[in-house]
Amino acid sequence: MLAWMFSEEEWSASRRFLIAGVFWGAVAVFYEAIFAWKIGFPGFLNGIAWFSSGRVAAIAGDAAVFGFASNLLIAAAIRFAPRLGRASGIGEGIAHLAFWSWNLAAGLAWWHLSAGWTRGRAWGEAPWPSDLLRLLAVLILGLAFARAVRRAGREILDDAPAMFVGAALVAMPVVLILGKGLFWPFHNPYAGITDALAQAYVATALNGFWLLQLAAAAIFGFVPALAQRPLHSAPLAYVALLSLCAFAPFAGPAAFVWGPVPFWLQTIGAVSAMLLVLPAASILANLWKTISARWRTIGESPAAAFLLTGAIGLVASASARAVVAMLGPSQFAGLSVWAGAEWTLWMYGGIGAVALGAAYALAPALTGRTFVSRRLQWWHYWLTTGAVVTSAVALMLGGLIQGAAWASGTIPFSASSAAVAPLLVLRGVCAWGIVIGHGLFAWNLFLSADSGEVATAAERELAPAAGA
Amino acid sequence: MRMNAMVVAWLVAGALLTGYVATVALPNADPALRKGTERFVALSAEEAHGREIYVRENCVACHTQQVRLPEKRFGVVRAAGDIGDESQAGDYIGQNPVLLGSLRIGPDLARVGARLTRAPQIIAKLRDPATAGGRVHGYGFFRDDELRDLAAYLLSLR
Repeated sequence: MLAWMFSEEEWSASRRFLIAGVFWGAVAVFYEAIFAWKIGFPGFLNGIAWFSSGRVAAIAGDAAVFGFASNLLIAAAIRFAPRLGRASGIGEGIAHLAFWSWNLAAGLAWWHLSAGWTRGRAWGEAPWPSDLLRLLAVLILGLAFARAVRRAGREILDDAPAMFVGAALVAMPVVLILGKGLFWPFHNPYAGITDALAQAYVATALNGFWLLQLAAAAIFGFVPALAQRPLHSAPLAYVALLSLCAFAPFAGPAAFVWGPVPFWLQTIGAVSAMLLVLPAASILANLWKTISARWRTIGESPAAAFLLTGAIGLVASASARAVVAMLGPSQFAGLSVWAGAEWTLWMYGGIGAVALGAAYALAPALTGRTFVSRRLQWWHYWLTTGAVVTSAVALMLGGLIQGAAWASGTIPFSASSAAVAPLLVLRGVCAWGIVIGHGLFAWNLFLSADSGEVATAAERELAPAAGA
Repeated sequence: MRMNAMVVAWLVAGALLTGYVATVALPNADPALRKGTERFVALSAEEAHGREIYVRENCVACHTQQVRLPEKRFGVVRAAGDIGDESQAGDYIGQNPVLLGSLRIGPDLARVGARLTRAPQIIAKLRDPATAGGRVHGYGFFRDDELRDLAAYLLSLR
C-alpha cells in the first residue's frame, strides 16, 4: 500500500487522492459518530477539550467536505477529465503538488480546529492557512486542466464529465476568495448580518459549484463505463449545469427564512433553494435513463449501486432543503434537527455515496488489482445506505417533533429535547454503522492492493461507452 | 450540442459573482442593515473574552442566537414567551463572526441573559451539567476565568 502511495508512475496522483480520501473518510465518519453520540449522550467524552462537541462538529464537517468527498472526487476528476478529452494526462508532478497542498490544508484544519483555532463560520471553520493551501491546490489543478483543454481542443467539453470538472475548478477559487474573504481586510472582512449572508453564500456555492459538480462529473463519467452504454442525454447534462448556475448562487438567504434579513432576500433565497431540486433531478434522470437498459449493472456492481444511491440522495437532500425554505414548513422544521437530516442526506447519502461509487470504480483501475471481497463491498453498501436512511428519517421526525413543540407555545425546550432524545440516540447508533462500513471498505481496499487478483481489462480501462 | 470552454468558465464565474453581489454585497450596502438597534451594546473586555470562548468551542453548532418572527414573545425556552423579541439585523452590528446558528440542539441564546440572571448558575451548569439537571455538554476543562467570562458574555445577551 505504502509503496504505491509514494510511487511516481502514471495516475499516481489520482491514486494518492483516492487513498487520502479513504483516510479522511475514516476521520470524518469517526468524528461524525462522536458528535452524534455526544448529542445522544451529553456526558460522553466530557472534559476533554479536543473532543468538546463544538470542536468535534467542526472537524467532522471539514474532514467530510474537504478531506473525504473532495479527495475522492478529485481522484475521479483527474482520472477522467483528460482521458475523455483525449488529451495527455494532467502532469503527475503538478498534480502531486496539488495533492500535498490540499491534504496539508486538511491536516492543518484538523489540528487547528482540535486546538480551538477557528473562524467560527459554518462551512468555513478552518483558519486562513488551510484556505490559502486549498486555493493553491485548486489553482494548480485548474491551470493543469486548462492546459489539457488547450492541447485537446475545446471540444473536450463535449464530454459532460470534463465540462463539470472544468466548471468546478473555475468555481472553487471564486468561492474561496469571495465567500471566505481572502482579500483585504484579510480573511474576516465581513461582520454582522453581512457575515451571516457570506456564510450562507459559501455554503451554497461550495455545495453546488464544487461538490455537486464534481459528483456530476463522477456520475457522468463512471455510469456509462459501468453500464457500457452511452450517456443518455448531453443536453440534460447542460440543464444540470445551467440550472445550477441560475439558482445555486442565490440560494444562501434561504437559511434565514423568518430570520433577521430583509424579506426580499429571503424570497430570492427560498425560491432559488426550491429550484435547486432541478439540477439534482436532471442528474438523476440522466443516470436513470442511461442505466435503465442494463439494470443488472446495479446488482453486479457496488460502484454502480453507490452512484445510483448517491444521485437519489442528492435529490432527497435538495428536496429536504426545499421544504424548509418554504415559509409554512420553515416555522416548524426550521432550526430544528431537520437540518441534521439535510446534512446526512447530502454529505453521506448524496455526495458521499457518489464519492464511494467513484472510489469503487476507480480503485481497480488505479491499483491494477480487483477487490478481494465482493461480499465486503455489499456489506459496506447496505450498512452505509441503511444507516443514512435511518438517520435521516430519525432526524426528520425529530425536527417535526421539535417544531410542533416549539409551535405549541407551552412546551419547554427541555421537554422537546427529551422527546427527541431516543431519535438522537438512534442517529448515534447509525453513525457508528457508517464507521463500521467505512472500516470494511478501507480493509477491503488494503487487502486488494496487496493481494487482489489482477484487474480485468475493463476494470483497468474504465472506458466510457462509445458516444458518452 | 457544444459548449465552448470559455463560455463554461465565464458562465460559472459570472453566476457566482452575480450571486455574491445580489446576496452579500448589495445587502452590505443597505444603510438599514447597518443601523444598530437599541439592543446592540458594546461588550466589556470580560464579555468579549467570553465571546471568544463561545467561538472557540463552536457553541454555534448547537445553539442559535436568532428569534424568528413567528416565535417572538411566543416561543418557550422555560416559560411561555421567554424566547424574547424578534431578532433584527441591527442587533448584530460589528459581530465578527456573527453567531446566528442554524440548528437548535440546545435552546436559543439570543436573549439568554434575560432568562438566566446569575453567573454562578451558568458556571455550575457548564462545569457539571449533570448536577444542574440539564442535557448540556460539560466544560470541566475550562479555567475559572474562562467560565466567568463565558458566563458574563451569556448574561450580556438580552
